[in-house]
Amino acid sequence: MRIFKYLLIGIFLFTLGRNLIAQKSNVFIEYKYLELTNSQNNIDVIEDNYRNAELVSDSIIINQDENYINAHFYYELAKAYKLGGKSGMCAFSLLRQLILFSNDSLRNGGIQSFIDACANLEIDKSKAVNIYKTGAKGPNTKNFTARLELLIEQSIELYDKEVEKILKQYTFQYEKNTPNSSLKIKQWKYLSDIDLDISSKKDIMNNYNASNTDDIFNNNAKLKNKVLKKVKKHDKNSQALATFTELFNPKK
Amino acid sequence: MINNYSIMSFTFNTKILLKTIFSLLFIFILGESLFSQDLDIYKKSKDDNLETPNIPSGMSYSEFQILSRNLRLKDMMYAMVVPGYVHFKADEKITGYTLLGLRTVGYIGLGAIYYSYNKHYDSNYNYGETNNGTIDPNNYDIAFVTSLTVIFATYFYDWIHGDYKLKKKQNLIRYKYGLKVELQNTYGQINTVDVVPIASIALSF
Repeated sequence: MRIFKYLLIGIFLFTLGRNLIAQKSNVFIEYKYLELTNSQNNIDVIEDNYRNAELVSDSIIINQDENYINAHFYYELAKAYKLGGKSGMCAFSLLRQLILFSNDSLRNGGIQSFIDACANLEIDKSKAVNIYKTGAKGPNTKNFTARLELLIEQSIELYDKEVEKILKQYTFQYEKNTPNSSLKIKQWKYLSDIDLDISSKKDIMNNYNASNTDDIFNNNAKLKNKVLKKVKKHDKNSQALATFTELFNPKK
Repeated sequence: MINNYSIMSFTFNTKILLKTIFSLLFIFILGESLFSQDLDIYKKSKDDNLETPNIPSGMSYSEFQILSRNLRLKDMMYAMVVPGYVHFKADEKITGYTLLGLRTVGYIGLGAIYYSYNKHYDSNYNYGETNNGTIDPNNYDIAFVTSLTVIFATYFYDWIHGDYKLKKKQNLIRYKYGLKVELQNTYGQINTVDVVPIASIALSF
């Protein structure tokens, strides 16, 4: 009977161990694959894997996996995006690595690649450095949700179409775990929900802490009309502007 | 006598032989049709559509579709009738629709030539019009050759380029998942196809 008991415990531990390894192995295999394909510099092969790499990334975020290999995975993913000419996703991957899975050995190479990617997104060097340095404060907290909040806040500043699509998914994950979410994220999410284009969103978010409504719209009547039209179309009720006013109330 | 006998014997044997062959063929086909749901020449003892393939983790449906597509001789014939068929099959919809448009223009050109030619021929017993109101057959010839060129060029482009694109996509998919499986084997991690005994405890509130 005792042998039977030990056998059962043995099978349980073996299965548990193998399953734990398996969860990490997906990221490890994806990291190894990225490393191999990036070194070949074949754009077709690299681009073909973006969807698969993002699937693995989603599993990391959803499981809040804290494995050290994640940092290397995101770093290689950033290289892959750089080779494919996707500067927004390259910068975003570097931010994911920096904020969620910090690794000192990757920081020097990371900041330079981030500045280069930001230059392609027409973000000046001082702002890029500022985003990166603010992001570098992320690892000070062990709370994954707090780091996710910082990641979303910093990534908003990239104003890239592909990045915003992923940020929407992350926002959903973040709000699920946070009762009082950040105002900046709330505002950005609302502007995304009303389907406002990126340049208009950027103009509003740059002035979100202005003292009056006209300043929020930077005295741009065209932009104001555009936003109000989108708000009315989105809400379609008598309280059409209530949510917008509440979120962007200058007297807050 | 001996020769005649041998000839007769040969004739007799041939008849029996032919009868036997046809009888066997009939029995074979009958027997085969009992095993399959359709009349097939080859043995088919199970329904292929019920087989579930081992799909690698992360493979999308469009990748699965592309990987299971082959270009056969019948596709070459379909491509004659449906412009851009091979590109549609390779999931290259923009090129497919472009070829569809170009081939349609070619067909319209041919139709227009045929219509104008008949009209002029019936009324004037002549064809093609010049500035003087007389007929210049070169006008029709150029239009005819251009239309035919467009039709054939789009057909060959569809077939050759479509085939190249499909094979390229299939290679990319095979390379991606093949290499990942190899990496899993190399680093000694779990192969998802293996059956692993699993014991688990779940608590729900």
